[in-house]
Amino acid sequence: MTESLRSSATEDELDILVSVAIRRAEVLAEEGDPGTPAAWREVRLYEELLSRITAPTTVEGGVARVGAVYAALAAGDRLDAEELAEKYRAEGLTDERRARLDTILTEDFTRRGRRYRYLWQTGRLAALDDWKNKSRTETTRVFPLAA
Amino acid sequence: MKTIAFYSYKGGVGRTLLVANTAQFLALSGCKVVVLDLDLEAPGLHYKLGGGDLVCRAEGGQLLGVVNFLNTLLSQSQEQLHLSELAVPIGLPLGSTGSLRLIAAGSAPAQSYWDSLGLLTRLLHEPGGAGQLPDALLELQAGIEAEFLPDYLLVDSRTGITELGGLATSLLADQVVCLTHLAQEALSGTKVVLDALRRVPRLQYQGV
Repeated sequence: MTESLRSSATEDELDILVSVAIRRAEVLAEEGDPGTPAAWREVRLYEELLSRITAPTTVEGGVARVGAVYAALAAGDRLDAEELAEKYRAEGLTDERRARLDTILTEDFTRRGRRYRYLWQTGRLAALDDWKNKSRTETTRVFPLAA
Repeated sequence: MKTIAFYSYKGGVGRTLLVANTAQFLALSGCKVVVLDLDLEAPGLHYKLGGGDLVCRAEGGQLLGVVNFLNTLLSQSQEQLHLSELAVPIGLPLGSTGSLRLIAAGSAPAQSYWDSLGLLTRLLHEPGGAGQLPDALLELQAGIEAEFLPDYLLVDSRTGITELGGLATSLLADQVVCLTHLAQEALSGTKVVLDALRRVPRLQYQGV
């Protein structure tokens, strides 16, 4: 589906697209397929489109916004997930949805802590996230990743 | 633990030899030292520090190192390597109170090393893969500090302007020793790197 068609899709059409995309991403994840992150990025795309045409205080709008953040995390795009979460909180999510956002972000942090146990034990995981955020906003990039 | 990265924009300046000599000098002076070979595309520290036995292990594909550690971490393998499997104690003269451990890049020049490096490259080129390299390198550094409690971690960094070289000199290092020869291209490139290193954000540890 082209970008313009996606952008003009109705809520019902996007609901179908996102359901299919979620199922596909889950199957790929179960199989350990390398295409899993890309599949979650597609889920995120549909959830973000849904969030544009739904109010944050509605059930549909809340689910779409939480879904977009979840999909970004599942794709491994953690900084994007945090940016989305900040944006959606500012839009006026319900307390329940805010709490859900906090929960999935905390769960992701804990999951990373199991993987990077030395960083977790020394409290450096949060410092690393801060460093990545600062590095991302640097305008002069001599080193591809580090500057 | 103080981390010192040794960097040169161009090769052939004696950087790896200086790392090896500095490590031995510090260890002979009573310090606990770990040396880390992050020159993954042209590793050589195990030749400088390890002697014939270590080179034989590498040639036989039996020397685990940085590449193996990063691969298990980035591929989310259930079987994580323990750092004690990577760190090779380097012998010092009798009576030395210091210690020296080498974490090689891996089993170069064995084919299995280049296969592992190829896997690492593929993992880093997957979507989101390169974004995990800082996490994995810092995990390696934090693990070295926790497991071996060294006074110094010396890092042999890649030449040129590369992701790994950038991370070694900006994210890992407390200090950078920058070597160059006097050719104009080497001086110009080195100046670019030094200017960049002055600007990069530093990691601010919280509560450590």
